[in-house]
Amino acid sequence: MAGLLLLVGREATAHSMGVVYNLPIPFWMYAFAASAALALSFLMVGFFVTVQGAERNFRSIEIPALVPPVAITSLRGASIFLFALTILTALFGTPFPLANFSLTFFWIVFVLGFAYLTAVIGDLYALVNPWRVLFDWVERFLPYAFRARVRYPDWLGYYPAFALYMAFIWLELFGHASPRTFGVILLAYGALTFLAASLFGANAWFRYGELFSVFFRLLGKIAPIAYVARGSKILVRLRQPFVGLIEESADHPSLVIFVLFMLSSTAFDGVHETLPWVQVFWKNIYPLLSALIVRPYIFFVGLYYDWQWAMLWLSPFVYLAIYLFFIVAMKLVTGTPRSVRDLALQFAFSLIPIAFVYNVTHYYTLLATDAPRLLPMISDPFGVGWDLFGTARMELQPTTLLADGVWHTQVGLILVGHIVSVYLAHAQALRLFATSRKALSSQLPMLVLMVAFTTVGLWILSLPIAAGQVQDPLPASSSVMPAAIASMPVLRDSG
Amino acid sequence: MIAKTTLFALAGVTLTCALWWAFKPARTDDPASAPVAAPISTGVVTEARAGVPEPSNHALSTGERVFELALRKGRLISGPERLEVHEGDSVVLEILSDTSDELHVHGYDLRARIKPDEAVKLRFTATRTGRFGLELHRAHAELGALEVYPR
Repeated sequence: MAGLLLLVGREATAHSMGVVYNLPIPFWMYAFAASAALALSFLMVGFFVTVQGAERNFRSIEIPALVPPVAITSLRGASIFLFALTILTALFGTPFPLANFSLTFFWIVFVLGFAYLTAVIGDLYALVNPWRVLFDWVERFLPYAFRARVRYPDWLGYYPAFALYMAFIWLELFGHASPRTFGVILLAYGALTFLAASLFGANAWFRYGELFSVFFRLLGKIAPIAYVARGSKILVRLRQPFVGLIEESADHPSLVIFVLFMLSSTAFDGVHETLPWVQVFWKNIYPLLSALIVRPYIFFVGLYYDWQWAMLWLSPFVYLAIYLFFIVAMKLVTGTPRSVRDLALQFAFSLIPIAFVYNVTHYYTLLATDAPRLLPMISDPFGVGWDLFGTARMELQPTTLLADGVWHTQVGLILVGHIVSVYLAHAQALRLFATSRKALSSQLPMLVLMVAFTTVGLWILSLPIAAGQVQDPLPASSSVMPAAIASMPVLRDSG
Repeated sequence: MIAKTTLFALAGVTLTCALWWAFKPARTDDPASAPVAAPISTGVVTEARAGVPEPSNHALSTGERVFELALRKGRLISGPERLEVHEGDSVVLEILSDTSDELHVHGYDLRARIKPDEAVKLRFTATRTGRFGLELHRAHAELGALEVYPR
């Protein structure tokens, strides 16, 4: 009971770390952006009617041996240092989340900041992945530690990474892990990575199973920079931004679901605390259930969270069903001999720009407001009173961005992401279909799908946010419900 | 090819701008809603008086917004959950609670000590736009949110 109440109280914070200060975008801006997305899509169709080919965008330049080995070594050193510091501060630092280095560093700097950096400078994670560094050290003494003992099964594909991604988003939205718990989870994840890599080999596991490797590899395709390993040298390849997304296609259905979960998890995070969404349960489902089952109110509060989790885990499959519907439509419109499975694989990566801008519009304000907290923390990462660099007692003014600017940035980013996705899908279609006429007609279902995803993203941004997760179901007859609340112990906290 | 690309890019930008102008609502320039220039945290006054709050005089001056929040056991029993104001409004929160606690307005980082059965006033100017949680620290509860919309 007390545990449940604690859960209810904790749910007040919208994200694992920090609070998003975004106001819902005004209706006119939503209407503007949705019509602009539609109009620009048609303009793109017009463009491809006149310009039949996009191949000149796929040229790239390789710069030999541009990344000096010393840079790689020091980046790997920094990676291991930050990794160790995160685990140590999580396990042995202050239990107060806002004063502990680990949580802010992981959720804000790594998950948000590093992801956005990856989209600009390419998949650096593949080079500095701390587990990879550790494994390389182990292999100096045990050369065969991370060679495959069992061949990685083809059917498994990227499902391990997808399952871990679902667990990760759950932890982000609902876990509210204390630093200690978070440290234990990181260690457990490390143990899993270690075991899986020694079973299937490090290369197979980092390609298919390790969540962050897969996630950052996909985001790195957006960047104009790619890193190519040639023996022991790392070469830099320059290309136009975003074209990395159609240099290769998804090689397994599980990767399609992974990409769709990138979209649906952010959409779910955006919607799950809005007033209309919260009311679906409390205004529609709750009255029905409470008529059927006689249970105290708190039981339904628990059920509400189960329902939220179920919706999160269901979301990628709903998006998959929608995606496949439009892929089938594409097959019917073009009459192509290519299979639905093949088409679904070929067009999956063209959705990544939409997924990426969804993510940026939802979280970039969090990065701006919460990253400054790291400044005092670097002087006192454990929260025990150190002052290494003289910044520990810094008084930080709360940073908030102006709502007007945030709205315009959000809408602008969503439009850019939409246009890029539409462009990539067209360019991909021109390569897949024999005639440009077929290629263009194949893009009509795709266009509807992308306008739908973009409009949903905008619509979610425009929804009013609920004041709390748990709604008072019977505000008029206050004698029933508040009595249940009143009988519950009020939580006291020393902090 | 390059000429065509440029042409379409220009057409796209023009189209987007035109749509933006078409949808953008006309600015209301009535003086009553003009932003009130006021310093931020220096305008904070916390007053505590014993007993019941006196009947509050809503809209004392231009752009002043008064919200009365009544709390029981760390929960809001009367008053709005969403306090919608506009940038530049001066905001007055009148809080009456049966338990002692601390109210925290996020973003503005204002804190008001709440004593049992004593009306507490928190007065500030809404200079930052955005959505800011109102949190009761001891009860660990989110009371609602202050939503400051731009003018």
